[in-house]
Amino acid sequence: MPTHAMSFHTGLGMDQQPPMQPGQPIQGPPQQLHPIVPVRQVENGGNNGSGSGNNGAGPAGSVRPPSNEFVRKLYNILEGNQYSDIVRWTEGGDSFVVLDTGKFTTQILPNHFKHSNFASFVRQLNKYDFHKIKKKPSEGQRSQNGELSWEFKHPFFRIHDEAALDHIKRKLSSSKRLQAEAQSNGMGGLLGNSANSSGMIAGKSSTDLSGELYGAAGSMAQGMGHGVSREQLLSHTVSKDTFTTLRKRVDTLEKQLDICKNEVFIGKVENQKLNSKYNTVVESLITFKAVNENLINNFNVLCSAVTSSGIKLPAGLYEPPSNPAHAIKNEEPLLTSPQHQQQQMDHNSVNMPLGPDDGTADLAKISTANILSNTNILLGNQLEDGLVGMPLERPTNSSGSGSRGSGNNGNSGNNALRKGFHVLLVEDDAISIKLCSKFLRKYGCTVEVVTDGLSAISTLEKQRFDLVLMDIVMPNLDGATATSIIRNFDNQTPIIAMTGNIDDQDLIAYLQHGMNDILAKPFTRDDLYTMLVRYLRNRVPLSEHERMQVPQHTPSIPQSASNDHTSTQSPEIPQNGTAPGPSALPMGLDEQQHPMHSNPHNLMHEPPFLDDVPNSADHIGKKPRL
Amino acid sequence: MIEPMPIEIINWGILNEIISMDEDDPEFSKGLIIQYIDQAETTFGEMDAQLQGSRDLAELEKLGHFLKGSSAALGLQRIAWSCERIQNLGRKAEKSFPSKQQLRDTMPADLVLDESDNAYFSQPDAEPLPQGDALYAALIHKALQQARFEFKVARQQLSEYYGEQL
Repeated sequence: MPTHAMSFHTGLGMDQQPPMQPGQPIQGPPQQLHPIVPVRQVENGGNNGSGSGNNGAGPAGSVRPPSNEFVRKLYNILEGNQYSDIVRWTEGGDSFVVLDTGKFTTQILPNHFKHSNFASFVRQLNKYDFHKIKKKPSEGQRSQNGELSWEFKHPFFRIHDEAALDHIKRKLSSSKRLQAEAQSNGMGGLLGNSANSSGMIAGKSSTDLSGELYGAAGSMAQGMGHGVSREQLLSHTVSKDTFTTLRKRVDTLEKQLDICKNEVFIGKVENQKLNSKYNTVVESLITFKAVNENLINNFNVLCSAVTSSGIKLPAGLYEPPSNPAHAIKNEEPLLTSPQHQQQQMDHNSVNMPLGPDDGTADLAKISTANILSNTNILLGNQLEDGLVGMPLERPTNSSGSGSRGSGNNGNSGNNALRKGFHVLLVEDDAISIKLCSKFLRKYGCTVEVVTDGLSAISTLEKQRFDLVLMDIVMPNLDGATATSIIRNFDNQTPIIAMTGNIDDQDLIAYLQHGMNDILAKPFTRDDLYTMLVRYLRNRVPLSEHERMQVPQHTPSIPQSASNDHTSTQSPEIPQNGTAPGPSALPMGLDEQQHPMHSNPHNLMHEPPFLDDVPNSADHIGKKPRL
Repeated sequence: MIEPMPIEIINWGILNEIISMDEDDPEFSKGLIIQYIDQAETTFGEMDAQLQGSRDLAELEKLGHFLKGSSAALGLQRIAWSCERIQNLGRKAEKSFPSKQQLRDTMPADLVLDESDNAYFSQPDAEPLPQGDALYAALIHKALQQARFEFKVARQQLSEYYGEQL
């Protein structure tokens, strides 16, 4: 309900027309309909009491003039012209202007409207469909009223036209409109009336379509009221049910989209994993093939040497080849140069018999391979490791002399890892540290742990490692940044990121920081093993380099540091140190020329032994040859 | 995008691999689990303190990440999932958390809830959620409750497996 009249005693000195006065002269055809409406309402069910009080379409109390005391009060103030320096009619008399909002707020509002809030005054005007007239700087009239003036207009709010005030009514809110509509629909015969009266509202409102929107409170209703009839309004409105249904559907679709995105993402990751596994498998196959050929070759060499020194071999074990040049040529593409050289060397030193042709050579290979693995004489352990692919389950007692004895050929392409790799684990979570180092030790590695990026840098400055496993999110310094710093002084050591973050962009960023690869967390033992094999296969642990250097050189690496680890954590290595390994078989001479980290994926040509040892060629000559 | 909650409480594929390490180091896996339980309880406490105190989202993200790592390493995947939510909410990469009903639906069919858990999951989520940073804190609070629940369930299953109260 509009605010009640309470200020007619304030002595405005005017005629003070009581607002509720019935029988005001009615102007215009729409207005004439009002007295009829309540009658129909009563006839149609007598529920006119509900909601009709503020229902402009069919007010029960429409026998009285519309209750618009607020407007009348304002009219009276303006007619009285008592505050002409604060508020007054404009010259044309069809609008009024508040010249001084400050005084208006402090003097007039409290006296006549019982509040001192200009904004709520404006809202009230807005409710009665008054419109603010925009100021145009070019108009002298406006500037006359002052920059801060507010001018309002309503088509029925005119100077000395009190009768027209009856046409000024509160606007309906949109919900009330709908309610009114529903009500009138329910009452059938009212439709004509409501259409007419709403037409009147529309006509009234459309006179000022260009008026700017007022405060947020009324803007929605006002916007909808502009020249839109109720029917049009309804036809452009979505019912709440439809809206809810649609929203649910959108929600469902969004969820489904999320699920699909997720599946695509999972698929991508799986695909990457599979790809990487596939590559690994292919690599190991190639490696295995190479190993196999090397083994056969070695065995043949050995057999020929043994035969030539007068020892008889069991029949079928070895068949002397008849065409040495052919055999060598066939092997050449797969052989590393040291092996090739070694073979030639053997040919030179021993006038060896050679395989008759390709077919029998293959047969010989198969039989020799079997014998080798069964008897575990020469390369058995490593060969089996390669075949079984589970080196960690193997007993290691015989592998010491075995692997060392096999020399370059045995290791040049075997999928099995050597023991004794020294790994730096950079990780801040105690559980992950325990697990990961446990796995690493299972694979024969020695492990040193630091728990943040800064420590990783300082550790790597002092000491070399065969491999670094680096967490990303860590205190002090993250793994990616640490890696980029490490890369300033160490471009060789493989650094593997361990991260649960498998966002594509992050992965690229890690690689750009100089990390070699990414091991997604949580990883299985096999994942870790795959990674170790990828970067450490074909490598000789740094600790072994050092040991081999001892007789001739001062090691380039602080020996004490890494020997501490090998001696405490990898029991087999000290035994190996005294094994005749390095000198048991002929060594290739040119292998020292290979850089240590040419390419971890380069299986067959990776230098297997003694690589990266400066000037180590000079001690080769001292090694006894077969 | 929130990835779906895994169904099984424990990813035995992962945990069995760790348990297989017991062969040459008896009680290795159990030691890890005990250490984990301790770590999880500590981390939950720190998360609580953050939620009741300064509500430092970055700190909550770190805590979530931390516990996610060790949970996932042990195959405790539903805890890891909940922690990942905390991590992502902490860095505002997500701004929602599944309702209790949705989470209830992800639980293994044979999982028996005790009374208090049943009460918790049948009571509807508090609405509406606050806005701004408080929203993330409120969602993290929900995720933490879920993580605690998953922790309790996982702990029960682990205790059953090891035949003693862990």
